[in-house]
Amino acid sequence: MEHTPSPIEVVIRHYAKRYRGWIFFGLIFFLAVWVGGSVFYSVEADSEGVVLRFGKYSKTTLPGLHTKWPWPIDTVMVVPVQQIQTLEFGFGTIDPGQVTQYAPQTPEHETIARMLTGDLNLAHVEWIVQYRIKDAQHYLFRIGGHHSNKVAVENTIRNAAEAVLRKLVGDRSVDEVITRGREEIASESKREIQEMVDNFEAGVEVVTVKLQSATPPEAVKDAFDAVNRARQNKERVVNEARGERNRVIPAARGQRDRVISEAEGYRERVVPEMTGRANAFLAQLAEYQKAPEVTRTRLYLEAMEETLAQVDGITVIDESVRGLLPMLNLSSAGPPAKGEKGGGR
Amino acid sequence: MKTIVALVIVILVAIVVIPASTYTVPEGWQAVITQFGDPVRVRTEAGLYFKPPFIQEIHRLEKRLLPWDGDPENMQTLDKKRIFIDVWARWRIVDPMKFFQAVRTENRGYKILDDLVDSAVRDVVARNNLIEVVRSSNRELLYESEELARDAASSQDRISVGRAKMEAEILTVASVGLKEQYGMELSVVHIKRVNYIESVRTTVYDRMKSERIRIAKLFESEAEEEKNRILGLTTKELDGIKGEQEQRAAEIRGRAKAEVIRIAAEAYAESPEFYAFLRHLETYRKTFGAGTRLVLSTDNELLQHLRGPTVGGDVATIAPPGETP
Repeated sequence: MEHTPSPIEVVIRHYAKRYRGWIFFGLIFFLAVWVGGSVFYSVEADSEGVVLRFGKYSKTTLPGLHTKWPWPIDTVMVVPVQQIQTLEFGFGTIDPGQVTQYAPQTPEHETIARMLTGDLNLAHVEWIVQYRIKDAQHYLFRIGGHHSNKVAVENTIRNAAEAVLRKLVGDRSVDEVITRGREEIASESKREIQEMVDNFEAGVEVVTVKLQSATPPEAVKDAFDAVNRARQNKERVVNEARGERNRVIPAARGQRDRVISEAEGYRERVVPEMTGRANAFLAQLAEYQKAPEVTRTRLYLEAMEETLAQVDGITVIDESVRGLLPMLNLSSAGPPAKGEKGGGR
Repeated sequence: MKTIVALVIVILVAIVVIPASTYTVPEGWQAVITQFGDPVRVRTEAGLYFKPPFIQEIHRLEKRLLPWDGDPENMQTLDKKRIFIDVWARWRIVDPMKFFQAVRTENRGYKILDDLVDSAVRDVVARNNLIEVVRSSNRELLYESEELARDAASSQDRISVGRAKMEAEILTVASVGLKEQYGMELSVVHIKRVNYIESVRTTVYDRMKSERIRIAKLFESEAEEEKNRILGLTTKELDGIKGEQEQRAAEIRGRAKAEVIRIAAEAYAESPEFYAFLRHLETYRKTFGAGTRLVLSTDNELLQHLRGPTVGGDVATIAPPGETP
């Protein structure tokens, strides 16, 4: 200390007298350090200062430079109220850089992530909870059990988050947990975690709950994948069959229309053709009827001329030489039936 | 000299006596004051207080909510399922005097809770089926495929208690006498984790696997089913189209032929003889040609003049052969 208390002795008096100036100076210096060091304090832009007088809450101060009574009268605790903190569940990040590096899964992570679903199956869920301090006074003075408020409060949030997540997962099927229920679980758990920590007056606001991954356990992943594959395969097979159908049916319809058109074409052709021939006949008949005999003879002879000019040979046999017939060499002739036609009676 | 002595005494008093006769209770804390070891008073409000120096001692106790986090305990449910249950609770010291007398420190408080909560959990869990611990409501579970849903529906147990009620029950059981005996109060108990023990987990995995593989197989056979149905319908439709094609083509052609017949018949009916005559002539033209050799009798009408002139022969009566070939 600045002076040495001593028994009432001449020596002391002597020294005290001699060093009076020094003692005075020492006292002033001590006071300056004491006051300077504990009267001024600053609160960072993202924080609030909580001032305690003899340990009792007195006020909360905003960012900036402030004064207070020196220790031990006033003490101040600065709380980063604006900062958003992230808690990870079921996994750990080593380095949240551009390419986030995750810590290898530890048995502890595994235990946190493994959950029983409502159908008594198991799912593996990893998630994060982000929070910020919304009430510095509550944050500091309502949650205890650890010398660090941050640890105590985070421990509370962690407990709440695990209980809520498992409760929600326990009321859903494994399918819901790993697929369409994820959003709902996240938003519902945010609400319920908030409710729980509010009951504890933890002074924090849950900003986000996000399911990072929700999968079947490693051991059964293959089987789940097999279902997905089979479902996709089913879609593929069915699509192929539909494709095949779409390929052949229009072709067949086209073929049908083609054949029908061809039949119609046939009609278009043969009916007029016959009509033409019929009209030709009627025209000829009309003329024929004007002179039947001579026309008939003329037509017959003309036809015979034409016909006989075409044939290879004509053998004329008189009745008296009928016996000749067997001697004829018919080998070069056409089919006898044809030959007979002309001559047959 | 006298003044210096006085000053020294004052400073001594300030340094020794003031700290010894004042104390603070920080925010979030409370204090039990003992005199020669006997608790004499309690301070639950934060602030600066005075006491007789040297004879009284201050024991600070947490006023804040305190954590309690149990270890996973292996226990059995009513339906004989062995599970690990991990529970947490929150508590506070509500009667510092009693707490100080009976428990004294927070650490010993945790120990007391270890026993109380664990046995309460064991007690309540043993009276309920596993499903009651897991589920909180009878909310319908949804599945990705109807088959899984159908499966689940048959094995889905309805709950009558549920997790929230069980937690409340554990809280009640564990809280019995807690305040009266220890000056402690449990505010909540929550089940943190429920998990199968290792050996059961393997069978659960196997069950999950077989369930899924069955569904995968079902999808495969459904794929075949659907495919064959589509292909069958395709064949049916193809045959229908083909049939329609044949029918209409035949009808059109048939009607065309009928019309041809009608037109021909109408025209030729005017003079069947003349038609037959012309038709025969045409047939001769068409059928006789190169390679045909005719053997004609001199009786033939064509050659009637070969034997001698018979002018005025009745040509009409000697018509070319009447029968068609």
